[in-house]
Amino acid sequence: MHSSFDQTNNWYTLWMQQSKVFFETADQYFKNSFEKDGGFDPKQHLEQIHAWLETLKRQWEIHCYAEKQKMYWDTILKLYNETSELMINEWIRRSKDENPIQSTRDLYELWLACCTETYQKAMNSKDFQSVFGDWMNAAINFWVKA
Amino acid sequence: MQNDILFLEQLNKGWCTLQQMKQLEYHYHPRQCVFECGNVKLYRYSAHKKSKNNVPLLLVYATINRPEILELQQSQSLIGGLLEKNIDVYLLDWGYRNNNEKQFSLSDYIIQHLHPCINYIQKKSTQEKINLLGVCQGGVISLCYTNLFQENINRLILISTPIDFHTKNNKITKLVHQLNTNLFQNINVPGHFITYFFISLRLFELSFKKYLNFIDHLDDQEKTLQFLQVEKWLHDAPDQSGLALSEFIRDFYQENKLIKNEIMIAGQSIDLKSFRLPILNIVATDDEIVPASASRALKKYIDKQYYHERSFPSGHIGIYISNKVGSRLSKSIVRWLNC
Repeated sequence: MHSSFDQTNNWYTLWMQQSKVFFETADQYFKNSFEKDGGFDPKQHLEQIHAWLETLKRQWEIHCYAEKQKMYWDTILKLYNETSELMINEWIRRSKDENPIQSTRDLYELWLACCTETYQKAMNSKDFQSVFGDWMNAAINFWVKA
Repeated sequence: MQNDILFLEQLNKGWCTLQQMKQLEYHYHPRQCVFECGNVKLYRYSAHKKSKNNVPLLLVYATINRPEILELQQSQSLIGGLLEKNIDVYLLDWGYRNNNEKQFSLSDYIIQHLHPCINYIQKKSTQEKINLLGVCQGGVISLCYTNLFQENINRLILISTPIDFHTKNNKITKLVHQLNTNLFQNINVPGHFITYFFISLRLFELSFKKYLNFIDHLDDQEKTLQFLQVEKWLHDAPDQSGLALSEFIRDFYQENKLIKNEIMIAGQSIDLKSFRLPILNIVATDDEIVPASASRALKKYIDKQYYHERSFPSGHIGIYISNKVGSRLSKSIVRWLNC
């Protein structure tokens, strides 16, 4: 049975790191509260809550960026698949035309020519433009807040 | 098999040669910085012969790349060609943005930087009007400036300058049409981000294919040096003021305001129909960054008696460095200036 858990992010480690900070800080406050002149400082407490919320927000932003990036790479992966098909057909055609691929360089050049053709076609499609735009926006947003 | 080994060896040699790029330095024709305005520097080049009544020519390159491309190949560069014909050449270098400039708008570039440089040249040369040459986005800036201060400009030359940003084959427009420009208007946008964007327009040609061509000429020192120089220049994109960049993308690329006469610079609108001076529009017919159709659109919006056009069979950068164009570009400009 396959899990639907997102394996690309190590959520468990992230959660454990977050929890460690939480419990360590909480521990500190509890210790202080029973000492002389101790007790909770509401202002400091609020600042700490804000810091935790910022961390959670940041994790969410990482998630949003990762999602848009994944969509972009999925699109590129799809293009690679289309390229492979195009390349194999072209390879077969050249073999039939008695102009076969004879070296690594020939093969590499054929692959590049097919990639270029597929990519240029994709760039004119609304789907690619949309995915590219979303990824750029997410990347800038992530970078600006980093 | 032997060919494959040679190919791999060649790849390795190419990789090692590419590392030399870091040691390369730009070389300039003899010049002197004559005026500074913030980060902007104004250079005056030494013409081969001084001639009287020579109307100075100011070159304004785009803010998004370095102007060194105009003299990268000393032997047949644009600046070199102009100097050979004794043109009094000035170059405005926008410099590298610092953190104080992230709120710089296009109006600021035009009014606070370009205008004082032009005033300096007018005063120094005792000419009421000077000639202005703008390249790409620098062409748009020059066009806007000229529209506002026609009394300062004798002739205007534009190279690869987009006018109509919504022509059919404009790849940049297609890729930026849903970009949220609010995201970066308060920051300096890193130059390498812009470089990646331009590479993504021809991803496989610029990331792989050109290096394949490069390794074929490793034994040709001149070609190798030229490739490395261009490569260095390509990756030397200055950071951009977020505000000016967001204005440029939104107002020009997304909303195509220039041809609608809706661009406002320092509170004044840019009206293309109001030009009353000769304009030479130079178009690179194979340009994939600014398609020829985007530049040629100017013809539709200005009075025909002022419009002149020359085209060259090259790309956006090739027009300055390719042997196909060579010195024809500078000769064509000088001929037009003198006619």
